[in-house]
Amino acid sequence: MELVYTYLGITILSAFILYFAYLTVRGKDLVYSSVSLALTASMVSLMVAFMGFHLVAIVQLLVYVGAAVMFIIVSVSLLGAKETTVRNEYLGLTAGILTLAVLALYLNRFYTAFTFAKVPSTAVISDLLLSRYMGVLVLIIVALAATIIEAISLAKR
Amino acid sequence: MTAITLESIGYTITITGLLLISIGVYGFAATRNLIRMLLSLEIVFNGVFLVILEVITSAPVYATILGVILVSVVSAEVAVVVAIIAAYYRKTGVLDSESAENVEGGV
Repeated sequence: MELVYTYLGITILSAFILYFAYLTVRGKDLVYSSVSLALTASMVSLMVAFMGFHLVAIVQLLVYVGAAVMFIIVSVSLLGAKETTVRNEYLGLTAGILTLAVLALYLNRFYTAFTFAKVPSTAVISDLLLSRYMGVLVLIIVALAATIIEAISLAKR
Repeated sequence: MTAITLESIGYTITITGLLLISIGVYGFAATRNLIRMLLSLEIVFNGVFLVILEVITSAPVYATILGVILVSVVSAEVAVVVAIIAAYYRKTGVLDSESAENVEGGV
């Protein structure tokens, strides 16, 4: 019975994710589209939590939604730019459908049975990041620091 | 009535991810507005994120570390791209990707 409720929750979540994703690419105003992106990403992180990856869900919510997407929203609001460009619906639809077809065929080749992830505790993951995956952690820190400096220098030009 | 299995949950997540990717590609190809293109790419990222995590649920530790790396890298990419778009908009006053070809000396 619990599986039925999980399935129902994931299906409803999927519908919301797709609806907000559609609003992101087709919304009339850029600010509202950015807000829709924040809602899409929040619901994706909820779905990731449903799958068992609680730490990843929290990181996505804090770092991606809380920092990156909020940065987009604030920047778009401050720029005050209006969308005036012409849309090429035919090209977009062709590209979207082709991508879906190719990915569906490709993914079918290495699809494995789904199981809810049994992730070890956050302490174990942190321990792994500070020992076995120290290089990865250093890479992330350096990349984020370089990005902040780059973004500040670009914004000040 | 068809019984709900773990497989059907997996398929729902994968299909959602694939649809997100195709919606993002549609948005990217249909517009020339730089901010809209960035937003569409972020939708693609969310779709890829879902599909990758769903495919490697059998290796949860690797999936967790990969997920953290992905989120960090994409957040960094967003900061740089938004800064470039803002500088470009201040210089030209438009957000059209086609007019970017005519800008001399970069942003």
